[in-house]
Amino acid sequence: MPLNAGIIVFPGSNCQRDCADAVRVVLGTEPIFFESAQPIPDAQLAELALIILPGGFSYGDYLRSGAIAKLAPVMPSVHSAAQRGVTVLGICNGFQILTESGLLPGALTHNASATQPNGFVCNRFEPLLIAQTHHPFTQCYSQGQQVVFPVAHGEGNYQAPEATLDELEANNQVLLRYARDLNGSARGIAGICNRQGNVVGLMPHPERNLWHRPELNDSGDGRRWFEGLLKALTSKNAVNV
Amino acid sequence: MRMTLTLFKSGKTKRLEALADGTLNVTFTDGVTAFNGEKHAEIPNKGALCAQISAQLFTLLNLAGFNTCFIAPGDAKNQLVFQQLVMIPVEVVVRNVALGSVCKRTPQLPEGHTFSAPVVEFFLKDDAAGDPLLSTGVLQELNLLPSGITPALLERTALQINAILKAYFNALGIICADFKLEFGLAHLNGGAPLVIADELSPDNFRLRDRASGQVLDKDVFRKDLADLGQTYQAVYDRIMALPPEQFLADWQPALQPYTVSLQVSRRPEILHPESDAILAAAKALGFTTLDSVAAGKLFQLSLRAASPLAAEQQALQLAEQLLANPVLDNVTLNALNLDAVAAEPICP
Repeated sequence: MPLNAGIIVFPGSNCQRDCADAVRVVLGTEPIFFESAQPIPDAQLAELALIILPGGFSYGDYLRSGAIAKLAPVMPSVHSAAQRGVTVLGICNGFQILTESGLLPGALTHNASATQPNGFVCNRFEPLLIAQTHHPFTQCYSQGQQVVFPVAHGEGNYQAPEATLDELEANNQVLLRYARDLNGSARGIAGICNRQGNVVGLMPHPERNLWHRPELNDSGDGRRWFEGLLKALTSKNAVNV
Repeated sequence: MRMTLTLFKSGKTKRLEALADGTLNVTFTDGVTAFNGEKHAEIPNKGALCAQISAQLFTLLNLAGFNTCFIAPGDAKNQLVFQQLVMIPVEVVVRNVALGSVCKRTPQLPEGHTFSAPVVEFFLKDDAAGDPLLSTGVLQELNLLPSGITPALLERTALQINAILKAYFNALGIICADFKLEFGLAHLNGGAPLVIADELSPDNFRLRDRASGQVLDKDVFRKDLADLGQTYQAVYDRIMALPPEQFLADWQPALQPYTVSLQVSRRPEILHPESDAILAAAKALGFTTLDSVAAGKLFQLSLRAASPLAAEQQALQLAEQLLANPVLDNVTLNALNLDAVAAEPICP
């Protein structure tokens, strides 16, 4: 059974081609692009094993990042897939859309680091720590491993009530943390999943660091993020067959 | 200043008797007075008519979601069972058409003028002083209202009651020109909702037949226009012909335009770099005594709703679902403006 992956394109998305590269290179399949202005047809939705909400500035980030996108006609399809256990991955603006939609807890607000200048952060080599390795996306890393992904965002400051943060920790839902105080995120959180584990959001961009290219200082650390997913999906398929 | 609040008690036209279960048996007497007791008469069956008309109008308001003192009909036709209340010593008058004291007080206002939007007035319940008109400022200064009850809340509630009573009478071919409300609370321990008290009868309404202009309230007694007993009987007959359930099933509240201004600001415990940056820049400018800045978003909404409360609820729902993020933001309802309602030519 082929691994069908869909990438949602909102007005203002700009990372869909990087995400498509990751799908092609690591998952070995050609992704399907879906415009956010329509729901995904049921027959196609039923075939998807992965839905990616890419980075960008959906709807100009008006009101709050993700606040308008959560109401896009495609979102009921995303909700229904998420409910059925399909893997939904939101990267950067995609993460913001997932929290605004209520598919992930908490909120992402303006960067407010005590050590970094306020405002937009853009770094091709941001150090991050793998917070747990029991999740499909993190299983190909080692616990506590430092990896390097690009970051580029103005509103990546993860905030949630203390009780929610405690719950995330207790249920092993924190997947990735910043190795330094980059944007003021509570407990350094850079990526989380929902309680069931199938909805994942992260601010850094693993899809932009797929190739080990020492001459460019690229570690290729992002590739294993998707290799872990491939491993999980193929073993799931094997069981299903 | 502190005015004392008292329990609902016997008055000129009602006798109260406390029942064992804490409720009140209220007997409506046949007495009728006007001009602060100067003119007085006994009209047979008047008490029963006022009790039954009140019961019908209280039932209408109960069914429409208001809290009223009315619990059940009493043993006799002129008796009703009421909830005991701590009374607010203020009469709240709603005027759709200018008649009576407002015209005497304001000669520029011709009798029968239809107000472009309903007017709410407050009067102090004080027979000795002739029930003086109260401005909201004086009302607040006298400390007449229990904590949590504001003049604005009284006004808003009175307007909501007016919307439904006016529509109900309109369905009967009757213009509801004005009426008087009294309110009480079940207790003073905080959080008790406003309860509509007293009575709702032609004794405290001004009603006019829409077609003929015929006077259908106590003005017939004040001005010796017609027999009061026959007049109240006519109102009773018309009211009984339209059960509240039937009226409410068909009632589509008219939507009125409102403007609501909503302010969305970051919760104080969440860092807000924009506010911090503005504060730092202001300090650099020399505003050294500036202690904090909270930048937010202001939304001016123009919307249509059945009542001021409904407009407010609609705005808050929009804030909850879209304009504000519950994890990050506080929402303040800044202002609520009732736009001028188109004048209806209802007083012939």
